[in-house]
Amino acid sequence: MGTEAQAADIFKCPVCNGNVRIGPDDMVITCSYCGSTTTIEGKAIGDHLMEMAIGDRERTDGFRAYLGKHKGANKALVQGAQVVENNLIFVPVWTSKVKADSWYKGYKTVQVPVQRTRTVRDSQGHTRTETYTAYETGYVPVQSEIHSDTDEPLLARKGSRFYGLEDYLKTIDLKDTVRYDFEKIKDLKPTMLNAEIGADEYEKSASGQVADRHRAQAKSGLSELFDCRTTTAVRGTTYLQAPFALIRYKFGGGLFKCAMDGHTGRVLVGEIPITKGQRALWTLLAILGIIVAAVGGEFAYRGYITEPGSVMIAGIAATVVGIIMTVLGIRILMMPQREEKG
Amino acid sequence: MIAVTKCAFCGGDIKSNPDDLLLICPFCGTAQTVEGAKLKEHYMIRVHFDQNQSFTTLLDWVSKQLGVPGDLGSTAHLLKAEQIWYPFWVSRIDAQSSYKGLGRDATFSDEWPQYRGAYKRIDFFWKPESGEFSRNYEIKVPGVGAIDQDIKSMAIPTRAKEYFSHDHAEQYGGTLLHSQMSEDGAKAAAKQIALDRQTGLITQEISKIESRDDKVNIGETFLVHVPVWEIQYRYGNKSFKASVSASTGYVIESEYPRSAAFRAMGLGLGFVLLIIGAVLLAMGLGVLEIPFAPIQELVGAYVGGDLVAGGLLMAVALVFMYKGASRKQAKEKE
Repeated sequence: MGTEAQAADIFKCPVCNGNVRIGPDDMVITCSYCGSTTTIEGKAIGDHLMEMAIGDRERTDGFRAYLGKHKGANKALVQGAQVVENNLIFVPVWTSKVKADSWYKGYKTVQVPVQRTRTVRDSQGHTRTETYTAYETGYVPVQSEIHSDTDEPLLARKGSRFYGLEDYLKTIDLKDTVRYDFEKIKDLKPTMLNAEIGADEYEKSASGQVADRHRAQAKSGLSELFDCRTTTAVRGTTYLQAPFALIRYKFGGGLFKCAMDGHTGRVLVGEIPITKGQRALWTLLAILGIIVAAVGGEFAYRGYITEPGSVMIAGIAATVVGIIMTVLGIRILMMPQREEKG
Repeated sequence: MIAVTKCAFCGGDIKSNPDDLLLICPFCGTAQTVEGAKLKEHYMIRVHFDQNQSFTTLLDWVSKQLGVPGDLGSTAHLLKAEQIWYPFWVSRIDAQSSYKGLGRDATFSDEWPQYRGAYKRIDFFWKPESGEFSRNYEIKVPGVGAIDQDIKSMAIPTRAKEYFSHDHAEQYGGTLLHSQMSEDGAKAAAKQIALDRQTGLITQEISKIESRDDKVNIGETFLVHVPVWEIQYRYGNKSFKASVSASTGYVIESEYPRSAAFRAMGLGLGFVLLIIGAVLLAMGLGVLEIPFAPIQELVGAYVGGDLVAGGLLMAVALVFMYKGASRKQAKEKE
């Protein structure tokens, strides 16, 4: 027995009367014939924009350029990488300007240097007074404001997320957009996704997101935040279809991926393999780190038992640097891949 | 404890556990309550990776993990691949909460002369506060409880959703899981999650809530079945389990083998480093003297260096030994 036909699968375009196949939860529909875009009730949504996308080959070029930039000592990477997936997908994005003004109040603590005197007895039994610096806690009341006016793009799909999404949304800029015209991109055979989230819902999410960000920012420098009041105003909400590509490639038997801006062909974030040779170099760094730390430790110890001063401090500094080198070296040695921003 | 219910639409037998509240007929695919009421908002994400593609993707992905034997891709073989359709409920919730209560504030006195604007004393007091938070949430609730944590928390793939098609699910012999949560149950759960988040916001602003008024509007709620390949494969004489998203080919999680050479190297090198580290540490602390004079003179003279190098070497050794001994699972980051 088959599934019964669902009438809601088809949407009649109010402009050209064409029958458009849609997803069940789509809120904003782009006609696959004439490109006009309306809400599911057939209401206009205002500007419908898109970012132009580039073709398969240009995307591969952008991908190779990314590999070239991050190949490090792995000379074979650019030639050896074999692309197994390179799909272009237009994701629905709502974006608008959100102006937010926050007023907040709280306090932070500071260390206040206080000169004190104390009586000390030296080895000959003489007493003398010396001054020293002590640190006491000071409480600083803070009352301030945060003002921002930012673009807030959000993915208009429910419950979903993909690799590189946050980085991708950051690249969205209305300056790069053109009026939506399916004719201009249809040769690229993209996958088009309609919005599942309407403009009203989006605007609430965007305001809430900015308000939460303001609160986090206000709280970050304080010991306690007493009050934080934010007002937000959303304007210029625009619907945008934005090209994204996920590229997966094989290198040395392993599978790696990267997220690409389908408009510029720039890789936003991706995975880079680490070769045996590179692992050996990182191991070398770790060993060098142990040596540096040991030498530093020796100086620190000698400085400490003779006379605490610059020698001791330099020793401690070298120890810390050495430990960082070792941790970094061992960490990368143990990683299956590196993650690099484009 | 398997109960049999007749499908209200095709009359077929639906087998279910007592926990299952929303049933999927294995014959016609209709989602229905135990009483036989149809759920209209029942969606799915299409399968884009068949059994073999998923297995190849899995092996390629696993091959890059640390210490995986080089011949995994060519010698591992598939024991079992089962397609499971996991149900998730997704709701959009609009919540507006106004609140009244007591919030903390403070007065400051006795300014430090050395530090303008900083005070020696802080006295906290309570003050009445009121306000409002308006937020829009998207909440995903897994329809089944006793499943792997990583599957529970996986994102619904950014792919086209469609009305659930039983033909499509049957194409790969998939097993459809009933939802242990009814539509009302899912809405109630989502509402509770939204209210808890609102409470979180309110308690950041005030410490004692005296009264609150929540207007919660539960928007569209749908059930979506997401296909996952539950794969079991054999390498050598051990078998390993993995879950791969059938719509995106993502490796949700996978166990993987480590080569004997890798284990031996991890454990062996770790052990050697551990001994060297321990000896250095002991010499640095002065509790060990090497009876061989040249070494004792050379190494024993550097107390600080011995301590630092010994400690670091032991830490590195423990990492190596752990990596060598552990049986591993890896997850693909989304």
